[in-house]
Amino acid sequence: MGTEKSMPEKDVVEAQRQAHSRMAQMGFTFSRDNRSFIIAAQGYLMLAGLGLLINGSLLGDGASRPAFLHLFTLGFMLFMIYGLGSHMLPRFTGNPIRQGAWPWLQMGLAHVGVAGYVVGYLAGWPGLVIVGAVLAWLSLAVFTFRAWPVLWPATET
Amino acid sequence: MHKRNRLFVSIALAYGLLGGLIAIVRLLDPSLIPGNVPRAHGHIMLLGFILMMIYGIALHVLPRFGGFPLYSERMADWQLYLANTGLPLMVAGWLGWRDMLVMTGGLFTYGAIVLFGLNLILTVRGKN
Repeated sequence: MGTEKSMPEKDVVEAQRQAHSRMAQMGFTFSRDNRSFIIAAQGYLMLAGLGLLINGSLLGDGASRPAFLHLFTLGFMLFMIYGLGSHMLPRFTGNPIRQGAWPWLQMGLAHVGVAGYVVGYLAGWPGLVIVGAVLAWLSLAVFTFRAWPVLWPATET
Repeated sequence: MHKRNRLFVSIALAYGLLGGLIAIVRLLDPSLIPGNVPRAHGHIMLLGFILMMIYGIALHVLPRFGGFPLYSERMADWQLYLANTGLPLMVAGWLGWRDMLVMTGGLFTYGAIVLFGLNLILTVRGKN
C-alpha cells in the first residue's frame, strides 16, 4: 500500500471527465431535462421538510397540512418519478421517449402547478389551488403521453 | 421489459390520472362525487400510482441488480391481479360507504403486498 504511487489530482479529474463523457455518449447519464427533474425534486423535499420546523411534524393538523403534504408528494415524489421514469423506461424497453419541447412543457406545468397549489393553500386562495391542481394534473397527462409509446410501441420488437 | 411490468407502470399512470381527476372534481364541487373522496384520492395516488409504479420498476430492476432471476413469475402475476382487484374494491367501498368492500379490497391489496415482498426477498437473497 505504502509503495503505491498516487495519481496526480489533475489526472484523476481528467479521468473522471473522460469517464463521464463516455457514459454520456452511451446514454447512461441523465439528460438535461431529467437532471432538472431530479434536482427540483430535492428542492421540493427540502421545502416539504420545513413542515418539521414550522409545525413540529411533516404533516401538521392545521390549514397548512395539504400544502406540505403536496410539496412532498407532488413536489418530491412526482418529480422523482418524472426524472427516473423518463431516464429508465426507455433503457428498460429499448423504445425512445418523446423528447423536444415535451419534457419542458411537462416540467413547466408541474412547477407552476405545485407552486400554485401550495401558495393557494397557504394564502387561502381556493381558485389558485384549483388552477395549481389542474396544471399538475396536465403535467402527469403530458408524462403519460410521453411514456406510453415507450411501454407500448406501435410495432412491438 | 416483461409485459406484466409494463402493465404495472401503465396502470400506475392511469391511477395517477384518475386520482388527480377525482381530487380536481372534489375541489371544484365537493357534492359532485359522493363518499369519502379524500381517502379514496389518497389511496388511489399511494397504492395505485406510487406503489404500482414501484411494483413495475422493482420487478424489472431488482432481479438484475441482485444477479438472480425473479423467484416466481407466477407470484408476480398474482400480485398484479390482487392489487388491481383490491384497490377498485377499496375505492368503491369508500365512495359507496360500504365497509365490507373496503375490508375485502384491503385484504386483496395486502395479499399483493405480501406476494411482492416475499418474491423480492427470495430473489435478492440469492439462494434460489
